[in-house]
Amino acid sequence: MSLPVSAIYVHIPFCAKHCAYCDFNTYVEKAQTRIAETVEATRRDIAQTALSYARKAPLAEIETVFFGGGTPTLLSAPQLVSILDTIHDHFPLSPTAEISSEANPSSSDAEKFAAMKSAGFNRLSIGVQAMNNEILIALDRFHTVGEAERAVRSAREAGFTNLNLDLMFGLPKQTLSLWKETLETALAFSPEHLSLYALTLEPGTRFERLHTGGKLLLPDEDTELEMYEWCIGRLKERGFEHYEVSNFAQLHPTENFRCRHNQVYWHNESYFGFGAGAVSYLDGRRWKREKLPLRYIEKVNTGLSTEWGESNLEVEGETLTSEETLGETLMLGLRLREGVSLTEIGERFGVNVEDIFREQIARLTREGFLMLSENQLTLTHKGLLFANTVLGEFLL
Amino acid sequence: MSATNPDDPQQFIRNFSIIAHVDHGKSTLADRLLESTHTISERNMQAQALDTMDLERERGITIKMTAVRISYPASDGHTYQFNLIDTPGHVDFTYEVSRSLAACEGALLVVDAAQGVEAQTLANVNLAYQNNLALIPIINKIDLPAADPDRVAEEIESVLAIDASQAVRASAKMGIGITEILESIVKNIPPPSGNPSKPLRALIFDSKFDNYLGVVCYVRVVDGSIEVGQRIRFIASGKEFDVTEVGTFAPGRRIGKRIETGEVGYVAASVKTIGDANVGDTITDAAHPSTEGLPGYRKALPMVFCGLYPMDGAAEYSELREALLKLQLNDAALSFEPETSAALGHGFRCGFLGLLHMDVVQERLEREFNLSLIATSPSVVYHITKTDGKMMNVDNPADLPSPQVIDFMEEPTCVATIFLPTPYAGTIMELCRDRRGDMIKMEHPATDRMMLTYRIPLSEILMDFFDQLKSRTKGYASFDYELSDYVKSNLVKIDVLINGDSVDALSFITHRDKAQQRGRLLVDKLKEVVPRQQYEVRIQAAIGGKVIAAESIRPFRKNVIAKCYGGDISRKRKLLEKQKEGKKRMKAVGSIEIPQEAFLSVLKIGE
Repeated sequence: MSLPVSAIYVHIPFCAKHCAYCDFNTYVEKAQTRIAETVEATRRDIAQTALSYARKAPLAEIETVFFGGGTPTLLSAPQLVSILDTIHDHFPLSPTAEISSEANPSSSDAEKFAAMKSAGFNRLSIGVQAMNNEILIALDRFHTVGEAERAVRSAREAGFTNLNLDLMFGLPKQTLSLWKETLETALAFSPEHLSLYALTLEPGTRFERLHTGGKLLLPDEDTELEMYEWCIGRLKERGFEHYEVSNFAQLHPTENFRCRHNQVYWHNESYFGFGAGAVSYLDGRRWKREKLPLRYIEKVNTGLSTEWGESNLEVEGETLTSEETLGETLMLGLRLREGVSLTEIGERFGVNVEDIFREQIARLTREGFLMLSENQLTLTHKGLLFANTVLGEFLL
Repeated sequence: MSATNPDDPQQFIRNFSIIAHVDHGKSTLADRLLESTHTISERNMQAQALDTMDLERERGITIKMTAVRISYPASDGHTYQFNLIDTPGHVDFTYEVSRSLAACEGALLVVDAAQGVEAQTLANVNLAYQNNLALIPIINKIDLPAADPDRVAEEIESVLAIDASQAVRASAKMGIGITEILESIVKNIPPPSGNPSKPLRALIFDSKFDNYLGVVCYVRVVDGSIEVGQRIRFIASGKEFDVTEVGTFAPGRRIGKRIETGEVGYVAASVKTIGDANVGDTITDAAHPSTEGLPGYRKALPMVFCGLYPMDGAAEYSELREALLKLQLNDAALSFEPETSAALGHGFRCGFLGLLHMDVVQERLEREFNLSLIATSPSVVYHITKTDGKMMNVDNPADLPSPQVIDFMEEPTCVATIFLPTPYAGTIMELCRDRRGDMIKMEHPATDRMMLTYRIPLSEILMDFFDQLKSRTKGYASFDYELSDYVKSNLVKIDVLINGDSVDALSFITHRDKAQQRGRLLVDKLKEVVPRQQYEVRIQAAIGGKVIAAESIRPFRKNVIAKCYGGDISRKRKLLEKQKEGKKRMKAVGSIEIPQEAFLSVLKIGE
C-alpha cells in the first residue's frame, strides 16, 4: 500500500476573528511577529520533512497543494509565496499541479491575489458563507456582502480561472428564500466550484453553547432538507456536477473543475501536512502536528529529527489497521457521488470487498440506500441523505 | 434459667441476632460488640465487618448473613460464648430472617432515637415473637441532636407492646452503652436448652457455596452434636453426606472438631448443590436419625418473575446461562428456565423472592459477569381458572390464555405497613387507593406519626410503589409488606405493538379499571425513550385486538455530515463508530431499534 504521496496540505492557524460555528485549529493573532515566526517554522518543517522522508523513499511528484486554515490570506503575499517557494525547493512539484488557497473576503485584495497568482497559485477558495449581512453578523463573520463581491472580482482580475465559493445553509435566521438568494447571487459570479455546507454544531464553538442554552434558533430539519435538495436541483440546472456530498463542480468541455486536492482525501490517499495543527496521513498512520503556534515554533526550532519516523511535532495520532483503512476508504469513497469501485478497492487491499460486506450491501441495497452496478457501489439519493447511517455500516 | 443444670455448658452460651430498620445502626452496633470484646481489633476492622459483599455495603443492606462467635468475660466472673447471627434486612428475605431468628434465643432490637419505630422494626419484631425470642430494646444514636429517646421509648411501648423501661440508651457510633448491652445479653437472653444425649438436630439458617468445601451450612445445633467424619442426613431433602469440616467464625474461619449442643457454627460435607442443603432444613445423624425435623421449614418460593435477555443475542446467551448457574450456587431462591421471546430472542425466565432480590441479581449479572441485559417487566404469579374448570399458574403475560377460555383470574395480594409523618398521610392514602389498596387500619403511634395498613395487590407494589412512596414523603415513609391471599380480580393483558408487530416483552397484565390509563402512560413513555429512526414508528397499546392508546414517532429525514476533509477523517470515523455503538445498545425489533430503557418503561407507569 505504498502509494506515492502526491498531496501537500499547509495549515495557517490564524484568523482575524473566531467565527461562531468554527472548531478548526486557529488563533487570533494581534501581532504580526508570531505570524512571521510561524511562517518561518512552517518553512523549516517543510524542508526537514522532505529531507528525512526522502531518506526512506523517493519523493513522488506533488500534484496538489492546498493552503487552508484558519485564514491563509491573513498572511502577507510574500509570506504565502515564501512557503510555496519552500515547497517548490524541496519537493518535485508537477508543472500541472493544482495549487489552492483558502481566502477570506476581508483579507483579500487584488494586489495580494495577483502576487499569489504569479507565484503559482492557480485556485482560490473564498469563504463567502452567506450573502446576507444580518446572517454574516450572526456567524461572527468579519466581512460584508460587498467585501465578498469585491474579493471575487479581485480574484478574477488577478487571473484566477478556478474559483470556489464556500456557502452555508441551515443557518440561524436563514429561510429557504434567503438561501436561494445567496446561491443565486453566488452563481452570478460564475464560480467554477461551489462547496455548500449544512451548518454542523461542533463541540466547543459559540454556536454549540448557544444551542445548548436554547438560544440559537435554527431552521427545522424539514427546511434544512429542502434547502439541500433545492440547491442540488438548481446547480444541476446550471450545469454543475454534484460530485461529493457538499461539493459541486462546473461541467466544462475541456476542463475538470473538481477539487483535485480534496479528492485525495476522499480516495483515502496519503498526504503531507505542514504547519501548526496540520494532519498528515503517511504509511497508514494519521497524525497531527503540535497545534499551538508558540509550541510549534519552539519544537521546530529545537531541532527536528532527520530520521523518518517518530516526530517530536506529533501530538496525537493513530496507526490504522487494514480493517480500519478499508472501512475509511469506503466511508470516504461513498461520499463521492460516483461511489467506489469494489474491484479497485479489492485490489488495493487484496480482499474481496463484496464478500466482507455482503450482508450490509444486500440490506442497504434492499432498503434503497445503495446501488451496486458493475461492481461500482454508490449512494442513492436517499442514501445521500442518510450517508452517516450507511457509511457507519462499513466501519467494522 | 432456673431449670438449667449447673454442669450444663449450655448455660454459658447466648445465641442472638440484631434486628432493626435499615440505617438504624445494626451494623455499627455489631462492629462495636466485636471490638469491645476484642473479637476483632480496631485496626483490622473494616467498618461494618459483617457485611461481606461490596454490593451490600453500597446499598446499606445485608443480603448474605454471617454468624460470629464472641467470647465475653461477664461481670459475674464467667466467660460466655456469644453467637451473633446476622440477618438480612429486607422484606424479600423474610423467610431467611425468620430462620436466623429461629436459631436464636433472643434479639437486640435497635431503634433509632430520632426516627423511632419504622415499618421493618415492626415486621422484625413480629418475626421475633413468632420465634419466642427474648427482646432487648436498644434506643440507638442518642448522641444525635434530634434524638428523643423518651418519645421513642413510648413508641416502642405503644406500637410494639414491649416494656421499654429497661431499654438500653446507647450510641453504637460513640461506644455509649455497649457494656450495658453485653451484660443485658447475659442476663436477659436465656441460654439454649437442648438435649446433648438426643439424636442430632441442627437447623440450617444459611448456606454458602465455596469452591473447595462445597456447600457450607451455617447451623445451630439444637440437640446432640456434630463432628468431622459423621454421616449426616438432611431431613427435608433426604440426602446423606460425610462431614468433612466443622468450625466457627470468629469472625475468620476457625476449623474445629465438633459443634456441641446449643452452639452455632458451620458444617461442610462435600455437598455439591445448594438445593440439597436448603435454609430451614434440619441436619440429623444418619446412623441415629431424629424422625422429627425442626419446625418452620419451607422451600423458598419465587414471587416475582421477569425475563432476562442478553443484549448481544446468541453470543451472550451461554454466558448468561453460566452466570445464572454460578449465582444459583449461592442462592437457592433464584430460579430460571430458558424462554424464547419473539422480540428478544433466547433468554431466561427468572424467579425472585421479591423486587430487591431481582435488582440485586440483575446488578450482579451486569457487574460481576459483565453482561448487558434486557429485563422484561416483572410479573407476579396469577392463578387462572379456565372455563373448562382447569387451573393454571401464569408468571409471564405472554402465556396468558385468550380471554374467551378464562373463567376467572386471581392475583396475589400483600399486607403493606407504612409508617409516615402525619402531614404526608393524604398523599400516601391517595397513592394506596390508586394502587387498588384497601385500608385495613390506621393508627397514631405518636402524635405526629401514622401507621397505615393496607391490603394491596402485589403487582401494584412491583410498579415503582416504593419510589413513589419515597418521593411523595421526601424519604420519610418506611414500608414493609407481608404476602397475603390470592383474590379474584378483573384483569386484562395489555399488548404493545410497534409498527403493528406485538412486542411480547412489553406486554403486561393489569386491572381492567387501570388499563386505559396505563396503556396511555406506557405509550407516552415509549415515545420519549425510543429515538427517532429512519422509519415512522407507530406505538400502540391494545387489549385483545382493540387499540386503547397510540402515538407515532416521526422519522428523521436526514443524517449526513456536510464536511469531511483530511484534518478530521479520524474524528469523523470515530463519530460514526460511536453512532453505531449506540445502535448496538438497542434491540432491533423488526426494523425498529428499541433502547434498553424502553423495557423498563412498564415499571414507571404507576403514577
